[in-house]
Amino acid sequence: MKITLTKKVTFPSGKKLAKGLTLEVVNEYGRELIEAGKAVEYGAEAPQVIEEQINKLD
Amino acid sequence: MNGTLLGVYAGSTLIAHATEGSISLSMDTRDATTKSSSGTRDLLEATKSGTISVSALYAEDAAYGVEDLMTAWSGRSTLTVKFSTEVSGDHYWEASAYVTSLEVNAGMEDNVTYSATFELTGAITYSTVA
Repeated sequence: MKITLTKKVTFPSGKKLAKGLTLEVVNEYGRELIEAGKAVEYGAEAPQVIEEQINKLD
Repeated sequence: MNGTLLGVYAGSTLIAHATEGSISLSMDTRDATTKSSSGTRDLLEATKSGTISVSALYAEDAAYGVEDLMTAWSGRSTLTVKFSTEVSGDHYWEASAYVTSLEVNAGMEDNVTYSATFELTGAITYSTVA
């Protein structure tokens, strides 16, 4: 499965891979990373995090 | 099947920029020939074994490459190796393995390449991709 990392991930080997890296992994591990929100399937857009803006009134 | 589809995965990650991949399985035999064998050799089963080999282009930024293989080799540690298309329904081979050979070649004005051999240890799984 080809995935793109959406977060910095430390692989079972101990290697740290940077956010944005595209690589191929076994399906099972790819699904695990996607479910954990650490990767998306290659070509899919990363989910947008909507941050609420707090308006501070003086 | 197109051979391009079959890749070698080490520790869950595809060995990047591969140009070749192979698996070789064998079984030793015990000679059980006796005077009663009528002049022909009799064999009995013995140890099964296997290797997975890969050749690839060297890239410093590979998601899985020589740096990772060096770590496994120098640590003398096992890693899970899978020879698979990762296409649902296709067959794959998987086993724990040691990196028993790693060779890097750098010819003048040529691609830097490397090849690695994984000696399989323990059970060798042959199944279909979920």
